[in-house]
Amino acid sequence: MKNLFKIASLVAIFSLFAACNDKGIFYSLENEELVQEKNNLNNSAIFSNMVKIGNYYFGNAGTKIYYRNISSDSTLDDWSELALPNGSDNTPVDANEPFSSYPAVTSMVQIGTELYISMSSASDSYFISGIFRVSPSDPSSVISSSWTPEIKTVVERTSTTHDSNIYRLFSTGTGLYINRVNFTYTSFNDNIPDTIPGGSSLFYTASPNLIDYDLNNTTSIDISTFAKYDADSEGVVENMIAKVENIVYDGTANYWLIINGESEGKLYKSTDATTFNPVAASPASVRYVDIFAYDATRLLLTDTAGLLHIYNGSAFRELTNSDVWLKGFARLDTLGTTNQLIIGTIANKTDTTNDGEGYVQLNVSSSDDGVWDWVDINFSDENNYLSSDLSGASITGFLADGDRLFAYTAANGVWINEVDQDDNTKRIWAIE
Amino acid sequence: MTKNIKLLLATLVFTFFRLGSVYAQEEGNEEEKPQQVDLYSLGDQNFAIHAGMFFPLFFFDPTPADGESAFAATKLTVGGAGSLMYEAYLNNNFKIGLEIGGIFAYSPNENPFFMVPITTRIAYEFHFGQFSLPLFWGMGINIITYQDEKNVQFLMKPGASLYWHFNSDWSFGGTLSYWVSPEIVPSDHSYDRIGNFLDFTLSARYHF
Repeated sequence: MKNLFKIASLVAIFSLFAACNDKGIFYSLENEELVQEKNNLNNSAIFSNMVKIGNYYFGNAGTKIYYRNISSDSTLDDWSELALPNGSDNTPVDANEPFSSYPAVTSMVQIGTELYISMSSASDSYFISGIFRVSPSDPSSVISSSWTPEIKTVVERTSTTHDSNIYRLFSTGTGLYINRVNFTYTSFNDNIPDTIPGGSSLFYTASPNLIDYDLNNTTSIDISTFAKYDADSEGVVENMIAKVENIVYDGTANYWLIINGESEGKLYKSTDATTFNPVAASPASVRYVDIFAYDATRLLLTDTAGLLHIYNGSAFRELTNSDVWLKGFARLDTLGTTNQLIIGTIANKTDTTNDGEGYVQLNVSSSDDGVWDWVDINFSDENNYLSSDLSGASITGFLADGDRLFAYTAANGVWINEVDQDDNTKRIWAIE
Repeated sequence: MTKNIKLLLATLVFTFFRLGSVYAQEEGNEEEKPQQVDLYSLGDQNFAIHAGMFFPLFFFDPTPADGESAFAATKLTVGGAGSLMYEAYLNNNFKIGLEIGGIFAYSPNENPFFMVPITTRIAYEFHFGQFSLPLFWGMGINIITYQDEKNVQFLMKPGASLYWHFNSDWSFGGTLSYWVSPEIVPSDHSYDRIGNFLDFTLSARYHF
């Protein structure tokens, strides 16, 4: 018994001296590489989406849209703020009431060479929402009145129950989906909606520039049976229709839609953009985080269990990752790493921090998706990725453009991956 | 001769002979062997404060891959070091003590790196006139933090000091310490590294 105690004590003492992390602090220091800070953009900038139009990149950052030239020239690559519509000088509109201070840009998508945004603001008097478009070939010349209003709604705040609209846009490249979500308020001073959402509608148009504030020239898609919330914050059962999480188009044949109800997500598929049918055998008892149409038959779907589901047109296969969620996809082919996808991770909603785990890489080189699997060493592990805050960030999305890759995060700024100018045999990450 | 003059002469004669006997005694002592006096003994103690520079040297890889060097740069900057130390003398030369300190340095991406060593030490101290030269060997734990990571590791810390005795209470000098700090990664020993560092500090020591 005494010997056992001695052995246990020695093991306990030895374990005290052992490194607690996977690789050890000294190893991490030995392999730390310099992460360049370009000082092009505030490091706290949080993008929810990025697009490239012409010679410019655009990033949606809450109440702002930033843009920068695609040039690598340090005199041209700074990010600037794009002038947004103020809501009053964009005619025709159903009211000239301007947005209140700091309206939110609730979504931003690219349709051809135009930038479409949805905005929303709330003041003591009005809820104002709208959809606007602009052709930003020269973003520096864009002013408030340059934006063409597609939709603008003004809801007066009253002492009785009233609704406000929030628009969210999804692009298929040429077509546009509009998810209109109604939030219900019960009193004048009620800044917290009673229900999220109060109601939800979906519209599609193949000619986005022809829609108007009555949503004419769009096709209404009945999503009333897709997914629902069963109760509001006061426990009243109201069967609210859920907001759409994402809609993607594979470019040739299929449109995919995910929508989350109270505790379960639903996956729908359409071949004509407007007639959606549920996908059989889709993962149950989880909510969905993101989708990516790999090709005309295969779809990647992520859920709140941290799983990646690979759908091959008839069955789903799961790949486990960790308790972080997977969100945002990018192909690495144009970066010289063929047949590989990277997928961002975001913090599990049960966590109290924004910490994710950077990105993971999926090998899709086989024509047989049944053998697709994670790779052990990501394309930039050997360089400075593991030394950067990006490797522990929540990544909300990517933008791959030729030899350049952007990763935008929930709390750690916007990152760019390029060939190292000092050593063209390797790629490095830098923070914008 | 008056009585006063007689008294003065007697005093001078006595003084002469008295001084003569004193000088004779000192001349006689020069021929004797000097007696060695111990500066310290059991029960003497000192308290020292150190502050100075931290020099990261290299990491040693005990299991390097084929063709790769076992030595690698730490990539840390030169940093700062400081510590507090208590020692108790066992005799004039041997003493044992306890030291707690801290260092900081920065990584290439300016992330702060900290180590807090807590060591027990044994020292042998040479004495040369107004100077003393302790050689010491410290062993203990090293608490390391870097970004979100924290480790507790084993630490060996040999070194030497040189002090000048300002008075019986205070002595001042410098200390050079070499750090040997292995980091063991049980899940994959290819990540094991032995950290080798150096610190040089100015030291003030109070004896009591």
